[in-house]
Amino acid sequence: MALTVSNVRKSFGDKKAVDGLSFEIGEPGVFGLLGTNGAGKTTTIRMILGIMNCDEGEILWDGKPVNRENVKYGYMPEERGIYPKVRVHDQLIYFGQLRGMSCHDASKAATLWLERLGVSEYARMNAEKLSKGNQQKIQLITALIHDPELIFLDEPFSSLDPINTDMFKSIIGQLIADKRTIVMSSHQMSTVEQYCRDLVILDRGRSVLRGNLHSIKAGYGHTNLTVGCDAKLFERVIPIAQKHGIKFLEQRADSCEFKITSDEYAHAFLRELIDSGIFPDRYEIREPSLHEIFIEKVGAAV
Amino acid sequence: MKDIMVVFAFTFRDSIRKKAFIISTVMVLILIFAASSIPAIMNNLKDKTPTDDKKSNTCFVVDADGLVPSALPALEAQFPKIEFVAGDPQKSGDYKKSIESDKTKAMVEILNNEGVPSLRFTITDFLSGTPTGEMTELLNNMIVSDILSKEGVSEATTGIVLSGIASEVVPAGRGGADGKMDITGYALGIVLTVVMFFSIYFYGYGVAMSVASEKTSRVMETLIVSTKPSRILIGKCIGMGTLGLLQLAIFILAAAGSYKFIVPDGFTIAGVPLSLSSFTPFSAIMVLVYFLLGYFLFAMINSVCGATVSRAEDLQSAIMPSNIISIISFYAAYIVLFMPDTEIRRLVSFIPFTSAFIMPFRLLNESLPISDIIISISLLIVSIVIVAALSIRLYSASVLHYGQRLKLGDLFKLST
Repeated sequence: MALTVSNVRKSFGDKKAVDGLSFEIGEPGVFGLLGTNGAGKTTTIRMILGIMNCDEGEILWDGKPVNRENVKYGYMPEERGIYPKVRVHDQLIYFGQLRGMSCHDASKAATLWLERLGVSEYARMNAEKLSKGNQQKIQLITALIHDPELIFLDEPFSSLDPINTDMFKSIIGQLIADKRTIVMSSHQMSTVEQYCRDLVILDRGRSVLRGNLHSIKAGYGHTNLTVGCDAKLFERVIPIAQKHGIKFLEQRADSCEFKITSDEYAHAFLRELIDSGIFPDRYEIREPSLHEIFIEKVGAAV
Repeated sequence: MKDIMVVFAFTFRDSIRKKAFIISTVMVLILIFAASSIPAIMNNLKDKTPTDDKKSNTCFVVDADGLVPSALPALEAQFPKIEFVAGDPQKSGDYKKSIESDKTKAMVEILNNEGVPSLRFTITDFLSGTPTGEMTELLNNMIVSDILSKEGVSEATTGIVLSGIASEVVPAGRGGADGKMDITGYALGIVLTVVMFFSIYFYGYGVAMSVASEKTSRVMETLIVSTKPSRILIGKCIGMGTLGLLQLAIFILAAAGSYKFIVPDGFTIAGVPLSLSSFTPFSAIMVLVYFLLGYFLFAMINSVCGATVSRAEDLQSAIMPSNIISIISFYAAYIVLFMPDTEIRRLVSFIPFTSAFIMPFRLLNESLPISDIIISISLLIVSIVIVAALSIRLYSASVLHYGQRLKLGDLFKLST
């Protein structure tokens, strides 16, 4: 099962929302669709789902056009939408039935999901009475109730507290284990980094970076150095780093962030720190984070 | 088809629980029962003491010249609730004084003005309960009968003279030719035209409101990835239409029940008895067909209006074009109700937007050629198919649009 997006374009009047976008999701897992606000993520998802026509290009799932008949997909849109004055259980059955389930199966699945997400007590309540986080859980159930093979999650963690975020993460983990293909759009880079195997970063409708996340990061090499120590020592640490050609990036509460061009410079810097009687609590040479890559790519384009 | 049924069932269940539906149903039912009770209340007030032999009024009959010797027994027979007392002409003044202080008393004087008889009533006011009109008619007939008898006119001729000449009005044309047109059918037809307009308007508005609220609550995006927009639209229209039919059926049953059990037998409005004789099984079925087709036509247009807005409060202005079409269509139909046997009436019966409003009236009051009905319904169905195809296209294009309300031009641009 593979999703192939080939040279897709979409314009609204003079504005190019998506401009020649191509990517492929070959294996089950999480695919990250990243970009700033207005980069074309939602338009891309809508075109993949077939609820919006593309001006050019082709989108195929397992060699066939993506539509409701060919693909069993689930979608959790960024703008949460549930019927406010309809009882939670009733609307879950409704969406389940629209996705091909029988009333009985939809009711059973709704009950199971409500229990799994800890909201079964709200089953007979109108959705408008639920908190924002709980409404989001209902929205997730509408996307998953029919056990889809291709799942689109647009900002799944927004407005969730840490406990519910962990609950959502565990469900995503289970979906990955069940070999589902998930397209996730999010601004929370740490979460995307945690789950995404492949990704594409969009900027103003164009792809500025795409590929396997591990390979992308490996391609950057060790570019960052974090040194943790007592804040009083920072004014001694920073000049030593600069002496070794290491660029100071930022100072945090208990650490300093540096940009390095090679591991050797970092090792020489560490040696001099110790010789100077400065023993860091933390010394980490690492690849750039997805957040840093995103800023670099999109920031450069801006 | 399954998705259409799912949307239909959901829309129906959701709408039937809404306060708007419950309140409007209860209020109209109260109005129906209240309106039906008015004739019974009126009758009750009129016959406050129907079984009581006690006389409610007293009337002095003063016939100084003895012009109508049998006036007293005739009046007593005709008006059993009034006590008639032969009055003394010398005491007329006393009678007047007693009438001034007691409004249940009255006096009728039979006068002779140089051979010409006349009547003079003395009452406190018109609400005193003395039927002066009927008493005048009775006494007049007795005086005229007496005069004719004295002149040697036969009793039969006197009877003809006093009973007056019977007359009837028969309308010309198709309706009149077979005697089908009657005043109750006419009134019922007008009521039906108005009811059709309000029903089609009200339930069509319900479709627009339902679509607009799905956009407002942002549930639309979840919905259209679940099924095709055409299925949502058709299911929604069928759901609201069924709800409309159910509500109308409740009203009709309540009205029929009230007519049978509350409205007194033989009740008339301006002398015309209430009658549903204009309804035949065929005309009733055709009225139902026109309601459904007319509703579908306007519901489809309204759904597009609902899909163009992002906020429910913008709906009123968005639905204005549909309202204008329906109001113009209603008035066009209403005006031609009063233009029988004209070509324009026939034309209006064929125009899809107006036919649903005029045809129920014509079905009740005319013997329409079956070809006219077939043409009218066929044109209406063809229009629904065209409007539905266009509506589905515009609806699909506009449901994902948020922000400024879409104008018609933008809508067509989006759908291409």
